[in-house]
Amino acid sequence: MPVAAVDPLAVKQEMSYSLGKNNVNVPVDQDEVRSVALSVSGTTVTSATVEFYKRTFGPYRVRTTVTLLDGNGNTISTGTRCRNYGASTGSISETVAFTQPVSIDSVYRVNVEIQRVNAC
Amino acid sequence: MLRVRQSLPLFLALLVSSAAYAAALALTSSSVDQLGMGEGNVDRYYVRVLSASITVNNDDFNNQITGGSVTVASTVPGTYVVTITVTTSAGTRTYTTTTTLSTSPATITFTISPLDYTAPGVTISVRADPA
Repeated sequence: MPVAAVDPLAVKQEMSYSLGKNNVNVPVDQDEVRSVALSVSGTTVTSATVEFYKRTFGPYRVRTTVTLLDGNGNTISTGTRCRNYGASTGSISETVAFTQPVSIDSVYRVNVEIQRVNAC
Repeated sequence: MLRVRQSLPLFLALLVSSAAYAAALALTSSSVDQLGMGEGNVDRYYVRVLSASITVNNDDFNNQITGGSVTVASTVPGTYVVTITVTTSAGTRTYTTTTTLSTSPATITFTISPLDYTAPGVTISVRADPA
């Protein structure tokens, strides 16, 4: 007699992404993150492509930081990219490489922050 | 003698039904055994969310999130109920869909009622449960 199919059990059934938005007056920093995509080689996360919106006119430097966290909220890898951007406003895409290769199955949360900085 | 002859059909009927019952019982036990033995072989899945993006209604600072998309895969192919929760300091929106997931990422595009995109940002949670 055939046995009814059994639903798979979840080991990791949820992931979350946190995209940052700033509201700083001096110097003005109201940029916002709109998307992030992880690049995976096999199951290893190698880099992230972040798209953010540069809202304030004028050239300035922005540091993009992507943090990967495990199921306990511990940081397991980070990546940072800092560049000087031109005067115009608009969408900007940046690729951030991670310092520590980790398995996608270890990643429960992805945090993406951008920050206007004086120097990279 | 006559009474015995009269009772014979009834006796045979009882015998046949008892045998059938015993066989059914054995089959059920066997199935239960299979279930028990199979517990160790139940598939265990990991949800892989490879990207998350939001759609906004304009580029002003006081803009709103109207939807977005996520790319999702599961290590165990099958049909899943995928729940996407979008949260800012202004509130929470939830989008649910039933879809097939496999080890190859699938893009799920969603729309929500407008939600203020406030600082310090937005959290997009993606959860998949077997359908």
